[in-house]
Amino acid sequence: MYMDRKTACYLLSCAGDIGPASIGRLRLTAGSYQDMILTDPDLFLRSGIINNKQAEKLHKVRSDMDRLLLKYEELTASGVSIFTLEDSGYPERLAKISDPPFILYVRGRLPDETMPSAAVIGSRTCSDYGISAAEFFSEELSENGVQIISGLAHGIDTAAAVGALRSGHDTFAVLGTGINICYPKENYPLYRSITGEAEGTHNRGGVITEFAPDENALPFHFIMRNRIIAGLCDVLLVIEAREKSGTSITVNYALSQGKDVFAMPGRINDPLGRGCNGLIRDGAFPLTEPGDVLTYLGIDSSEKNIMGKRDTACLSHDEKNIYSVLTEEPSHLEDISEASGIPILKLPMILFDLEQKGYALNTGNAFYKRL
Amino acid sequence: MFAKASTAGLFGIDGFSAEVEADIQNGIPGLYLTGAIAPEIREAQYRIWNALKNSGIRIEPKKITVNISPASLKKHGTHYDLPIAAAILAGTGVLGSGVLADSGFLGELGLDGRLKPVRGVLPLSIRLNQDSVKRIFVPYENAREAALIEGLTIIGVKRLGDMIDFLNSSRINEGITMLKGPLYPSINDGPYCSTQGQDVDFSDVRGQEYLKRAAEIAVSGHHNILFTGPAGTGKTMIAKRMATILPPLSRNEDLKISQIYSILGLLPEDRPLLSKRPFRSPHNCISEAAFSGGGASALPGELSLASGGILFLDELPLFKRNVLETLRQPLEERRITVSRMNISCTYPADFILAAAMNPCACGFYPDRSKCSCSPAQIRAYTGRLSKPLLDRIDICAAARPSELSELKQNSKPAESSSDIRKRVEKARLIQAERFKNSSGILFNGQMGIQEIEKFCHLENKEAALAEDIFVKRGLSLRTYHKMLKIARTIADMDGSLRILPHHILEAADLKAGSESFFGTAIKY
Repeated sequence: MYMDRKTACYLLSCAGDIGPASIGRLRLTAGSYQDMILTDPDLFLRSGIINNKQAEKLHKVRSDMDRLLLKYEELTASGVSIFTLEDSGYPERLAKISDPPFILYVRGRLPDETMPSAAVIGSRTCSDYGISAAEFFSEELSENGVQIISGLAHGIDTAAAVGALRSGHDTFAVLGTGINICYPKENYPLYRSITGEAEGTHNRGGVITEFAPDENALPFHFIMRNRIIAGLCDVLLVIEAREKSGTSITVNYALSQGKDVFAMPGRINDPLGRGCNGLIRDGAFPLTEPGDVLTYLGIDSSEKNIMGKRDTACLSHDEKNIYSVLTEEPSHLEDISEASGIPILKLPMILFDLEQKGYALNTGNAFYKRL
Repeated sequence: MFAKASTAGLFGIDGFSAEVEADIQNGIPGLYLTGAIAPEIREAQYRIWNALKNSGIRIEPKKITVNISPASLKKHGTHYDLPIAAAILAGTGVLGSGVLADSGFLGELGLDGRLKPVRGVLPLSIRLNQDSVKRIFVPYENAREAALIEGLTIIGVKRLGDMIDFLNSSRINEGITMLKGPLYPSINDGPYCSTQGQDVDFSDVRGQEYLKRAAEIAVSGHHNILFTGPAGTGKTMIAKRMATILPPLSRNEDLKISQIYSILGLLPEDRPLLSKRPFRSPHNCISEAAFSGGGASALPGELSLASGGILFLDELPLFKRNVLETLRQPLEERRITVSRMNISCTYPADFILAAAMNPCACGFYPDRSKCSCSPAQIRAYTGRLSKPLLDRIDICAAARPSELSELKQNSKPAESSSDIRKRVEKARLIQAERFKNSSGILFNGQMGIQEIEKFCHLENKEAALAEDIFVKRGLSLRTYHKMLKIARTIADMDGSLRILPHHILEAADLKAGSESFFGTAIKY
């Protein structure tokens, strides 16, 4: 039976549970991906290359091959491209890491090899300030030709992708699920706007994963996903992270792959700042403005660019007053009134004007934050 | 010999007229009770027998048959003791012939012949009055309750013997009190208070001006309101005081509400009328039957007890789903139908719903330095409120998160409930004028889409603003209408005929909808 390399890799990934290390061992014995699939798995099992569970999975794939091949055709027809480690299009940055995925499914395109890329990561339950920061850095860096890579999770990941898309440039998301699944499901609109599947849009980067197309989100997937995020970037930006969190896994991957880490300093008493402050203490670069990263990447950026610095000349006296009181965190009307000295009943009027001008955002009844 | 005595029975909140017939014949001696009676009435034969004996009356050993008609209606309650005793006494000739005419009887007997207070005297007396009974005999303790009805003579009786003396010789001894209705208790003008717990007043609440304003708007326009915010910010405190800014009860309202309390025996001991706006705050573990009404005789529940006042549900998402779903009918129709096997009753349930909830399970969202609930968890928490329920709540008021707000003693003294109430009354007067030709609608909060289009008309500038808000904040059509309703109330409070931009904008921050909890922030 003839089978090309991509198809073989696809079938192997459908088996799940067979990671880069097992693939390496199999390759020594079997020689090619095709042979890994076509050889009786019991042979591998007996020689101790794979364990019982993996053998079982391989058996399952082999017996289910017709259906899987049919799905493979559907997959490629739906615009998913597949890259194996040996393919020429496989990202060079990723190929260099110690345990690169043997297959990548891509909807959209892969990051440009000639352009620098930065991964933006952080807490899923981040503050509004963290969201603003992630959007700001992603937008500014994108505009200066840095590709933003994130994980499409809640919180910082989403904000990073949103910020990058807002700049009009492409962005890349690495999934911890199969290419047909979006986790969390609330991010389907974002997923579609990146892949250009939404109506009236075009491809805005790509969605990337190493997992079989319909694979669901499992906890260990995200750890594996993090190594790809780290592998695809030149530099890692941590926006907001708690002390013990998944971001530290990505950071460790990046460091072991020889990439530098920037961390956005947080308040010392803020649980969401503790992770980043710890990274800075351990030697990460402090991330205070986009220029920090741009200089590191060798991109010229003489202009100083501070987040939240906006020209308020077009605002009235009261509007300026209120804008100066607003923060990146949502404030209650009563707090705004107290800080600005403007009676609470007059506030909604001014705030809505600010909202119309794009300087403020209503984040739920009675809460406003600055933009 | 045959004799009969008038009484009444309860069917839901309404009384039905009933007659106790006693026939004394030769035969095997005994007391035979008939007429679809509940066990507590069947037991009456023993109570009555001993009560008669202990009142010094000897009944000849004859066959006494007692029927309570209409025999087809199921009868509950112990107030049938007295009419049964009266009919027997008349039938055996202890009472003179004809003395029972024009009289009604309600009361439970003790074995020693003492009369004991019973539930539901108010609705029962109303029924008897409609049956053109001239005087009713009730237990001494219930006399004041029965005396609320116009045109009735109430004879409060302590012991069965006293009643026999009175009926035979019109003698009034210390065991008899005679009242002529209507006899209203004087309603003191002091601060209104809840029926649960001690007196409260809005002047106790310092800070949280925004929530207080929202509460005032809710009460002025009869809007249902949901308070959100972290624990300890005064949501409960303010909700508890909402009943104190409602206008005083009118006599008719008071009579109507007091009837519900009467049939449950919940009227205050020292007064026969409720005389204050109810504030009911059932705990979140309440059962559906206790909440909406139930039991074998389909008694009213908390929903009806809150009628005319405030129903406060603290920790709204913790209530059982089936319990919350029963809110739908009352919020729409202002009454609740309780159906049981043999009985289906409709009770009034016309209240302002005030509810309070934390924004998430830990209570701190959107303060991410304290809250690490995932978006899915937050949605699951708020998602326990069904959409139909949320649709029926107009106002969603977010508490200021700072914990210190209540402790601010330096702020100027807070307004008292009576001051706020004056403004509420003014705003309600405007609404009374507006809705005088609209049937079934009394307040802005009860407007449907047709009324909103008619009474919340916006001029060009305001209409453009409302549309801007609709687009900018991503409102649903329903929340848009809620915004207009609230704006109408705010304009009324302002004394403004026209809805102005600042009314709309204030309303925009108060309207309730799933998007009002966290605005756009939930997306992340």
